[in-house]
Amino acid sequence: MKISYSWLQDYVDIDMLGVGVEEVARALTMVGLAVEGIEEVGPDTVFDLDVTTNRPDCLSHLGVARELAAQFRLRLNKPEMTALPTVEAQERLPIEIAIEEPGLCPRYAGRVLTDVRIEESPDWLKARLEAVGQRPINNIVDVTNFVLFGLGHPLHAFDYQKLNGRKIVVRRARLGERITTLDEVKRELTPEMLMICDAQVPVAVAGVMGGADSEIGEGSTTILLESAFFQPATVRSTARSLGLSTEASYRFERRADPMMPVQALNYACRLICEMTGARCVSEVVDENPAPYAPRPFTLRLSRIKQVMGVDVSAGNVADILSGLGFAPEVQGEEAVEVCIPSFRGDVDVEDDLVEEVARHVGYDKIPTRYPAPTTIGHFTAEEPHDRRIISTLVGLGFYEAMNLSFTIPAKEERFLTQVSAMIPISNPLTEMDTHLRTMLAPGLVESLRQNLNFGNRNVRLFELGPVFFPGESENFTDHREVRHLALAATGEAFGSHWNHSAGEFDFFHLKGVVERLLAGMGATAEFEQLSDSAYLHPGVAASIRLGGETIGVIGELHPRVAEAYKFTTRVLIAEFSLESLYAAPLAEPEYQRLVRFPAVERDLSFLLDREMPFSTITSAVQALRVQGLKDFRLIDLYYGQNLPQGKISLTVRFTFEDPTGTLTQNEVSERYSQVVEALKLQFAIEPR
Amino acid sequence: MQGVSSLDELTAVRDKYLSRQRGVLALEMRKLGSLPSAERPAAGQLLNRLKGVVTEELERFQEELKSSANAVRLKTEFLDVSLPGFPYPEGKIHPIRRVWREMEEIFVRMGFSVETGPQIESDYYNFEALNIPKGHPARDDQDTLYISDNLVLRTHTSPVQIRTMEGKEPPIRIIAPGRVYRRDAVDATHSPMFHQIEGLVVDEGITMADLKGSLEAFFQQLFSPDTKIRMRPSYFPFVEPGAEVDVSCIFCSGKGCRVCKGSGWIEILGAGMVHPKVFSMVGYDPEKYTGFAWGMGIDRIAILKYQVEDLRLFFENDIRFLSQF
Repeated sequence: MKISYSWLQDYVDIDMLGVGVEEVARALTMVGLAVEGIEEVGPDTVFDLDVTTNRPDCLSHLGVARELAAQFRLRLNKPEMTALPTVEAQERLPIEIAIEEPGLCPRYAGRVLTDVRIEESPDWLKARLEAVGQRPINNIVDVTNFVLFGLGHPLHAFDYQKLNGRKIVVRRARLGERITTLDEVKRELTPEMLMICDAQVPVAVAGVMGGADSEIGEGSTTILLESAFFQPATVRSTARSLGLSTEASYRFERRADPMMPVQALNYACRLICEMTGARCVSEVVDENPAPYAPRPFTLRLSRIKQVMGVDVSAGNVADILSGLGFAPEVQGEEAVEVCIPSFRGDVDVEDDLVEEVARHVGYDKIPTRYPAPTTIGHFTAEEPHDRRIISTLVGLGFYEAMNLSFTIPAKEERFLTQVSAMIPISNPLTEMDTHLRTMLAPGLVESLRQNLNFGNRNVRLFELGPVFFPGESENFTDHREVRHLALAATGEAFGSHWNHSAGEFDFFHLKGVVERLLAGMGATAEFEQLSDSAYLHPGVAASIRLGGETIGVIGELHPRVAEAYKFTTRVLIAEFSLESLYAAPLAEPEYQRLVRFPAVERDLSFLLDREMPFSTITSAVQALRVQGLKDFRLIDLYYGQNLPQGKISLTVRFTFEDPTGTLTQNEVSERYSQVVEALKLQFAIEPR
Repeated sequence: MQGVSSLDELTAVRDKYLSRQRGVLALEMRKLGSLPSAERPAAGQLLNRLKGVVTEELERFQEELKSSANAVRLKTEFLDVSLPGFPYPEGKIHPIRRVWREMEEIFVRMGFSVETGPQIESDYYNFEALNIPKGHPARDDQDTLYISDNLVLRTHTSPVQIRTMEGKEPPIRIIAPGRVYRRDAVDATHSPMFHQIEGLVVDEGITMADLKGSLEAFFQQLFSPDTKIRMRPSYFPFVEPGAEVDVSCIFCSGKGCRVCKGSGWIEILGAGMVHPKVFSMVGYDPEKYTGFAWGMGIDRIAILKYQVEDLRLFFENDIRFLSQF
């Protein structure tokens, strides 16, 4: 909202303070009318004010002047707003006003003026409007705008001659009715819309914009000036459905002043008559079926103290509220009785009055105090899990990514054999964010692609974030938000150095990351061959299982998908749900006494059928529960030409130890043979 | 010892003479038994002395060998220490997570607990219970993404206030961080998704002075101990009185610079005293309890702190960007 410094001077003598423009701007900011810019316009200075939606009264120079008057304890000089006399009876022109929808239009006032000369406005008026960024049009339109920006009340001038039946009817639009508004747009009307009509057709969209057919122009000599009060909600919905926002609708939507219609009308009539020699040829017709009744209210001084934390004297409270138009009366030591002015529809509860006092005492006068500690702070139950995952991954060389929660079904389709149900957004802003994601992988793969485009070659990313599932109910009442973790990597494996080479990041690198991650959370997952994932290579993919439940997948991006994203390097990807991992608090470490006697290692090399998953060997060894077998691991794997068809060669290392003493060669051999014999029996391994 | 030039060869010599099983000296010792008893002590002494001499000589020689071997190592092994070290791969937490954590940690130290709530939120919690009834202009201000008539993508984390107050009695001191959504087109300063931290303190005797003090204590820890805050009136439907809070510019300490556009202040969050209607909705007595709440953007703080010129960078996941935090 642009506010002219000179215009303000019409209503409050701020120059008298001698504080300068900067100080006035600061004062406005500190009472809640943030000055976001100060601009010199000719000899004038113009403030750009940010007026919050609850203060439509400050969408005018008078309203802003009132704030300054209250702040600096100055007099508010309102313009003369009494009615001019009407001409003699024989010269009068008839006008009839009928409100059919008093709920939507509680008040409608109008007056007919004649001998109006439509011409250019005088310089002072043009300067006022230009200062606030308004283009002067003609003296009548300019007066209505002057009143709008001066007093905050929207007016409209009709060409009286163009009104059928010399009549105004405030009613809803009828089915099929149309109007061409002043902006030359033909608009279809619906019965929800409130219209200003003449005896036959709509002539204006109530509170929004006038109609072109009744517009005043050069030939107009008799006009009807309209000054009404419309319910905010009706103006709002009409403006929205028509996609039309005007200075008038902006104010009516936020609630105009119900006491202002007649005053604004009188002021406008005075200006027009003064400027053009026009004469008032009707009485002020004021249809006001349910007059606004000012509301009395009590403000307790104790409440001010309770909320603000400072004492404000009754006298000070009264001065502030009086300056703001609340007509306060001090009631003893405890309270102030006020009357809420008609232009302050925002004041609704006692604390609203506390704010009025606080604003004008100044928020900067409120002391600083730290509240006494009554609580002990804690993080969420998930925080330790989050932290452990993130620190592990960061330590292993992954960057944390964040993608938006939105997606489109087409993006997920590539990653799914069967398109799962998704939650749609009913009013998406663009075609790219129509649904909520059900998986992180597509976003992360895209981020990987982007990185390659940016010239980054070795990229390891993870994302820890929510995905959304619709549930069974049609209106999504049983939807679920689930925390997922996804990892994606491509390029060189961990570190490429002039002295070492770790090769390409592959499946086992990523598997190792997932294993480390889960181990850090006290979990051990099983990896089960997965050949039917839509987005993973059928030979290089596994499902990740935890306690019998599949929580996600890991593998190499399917060549088909990789091609769609134009990857030329292998892309490894994993995604799993964190729900079950987060279900319990992280376990405390369990200390095991260290064995003080040396451990003994025995290696075993053997041939095994290629088809046999290594995990079956591990399980079999574990199932034997060999006493003192502390560790069992694969240290070498070979498949190639020197081996019989369909065989691979494995070397595993067994580590034995005994907490009670050093194991003898015999004891070790006995235990070692126990394992070897069992493996021979179960898997027909051939020791080499 | 002639010709012995390595530790292995030395070991062979040692074994030859000193091995307990087959060493020359051990064998001689075993023969002692066959000597007449009168000669045994003298012979035994002689052998022990000999053992001592041999042992000593071997040890001396071993030291010599080791030091010459070291000398060779020291001579031949040489590295250009200016060559790069092994590039263990770098990982970083996301800058938003970094700032988010920093903020959380400060608040937890100040006695605030971290609470969370759903991102798909009901109209009631997102609007109604926060004194934003249907048709309220504030519903326009924060253009909302709807899932259904009754479900929205939460436009702020303020619903967590309501959920928390419904669940327990004061004293309450919480923060609610998380993703929030608006129907905003993506540009340098807008994103349809961003992050917010909402705060709420409710107790008997809580005033605007406590709001000021708490936020000042927070920002002094987040930015620097001389950070000042300024409150000025503003409007949010769920607080009354409402305030906009500015911090003294962290780049010029309030003197005025490019970042603060010369004003010395940076607008940073919205706050206020909890609206009595909000208290009534959750069944608190507004005469007994007072409280304050605020909401601030994590992304905005990150942008400010690191002077990132474009919000979109946070969601592009370019590692050239991520590696800087």
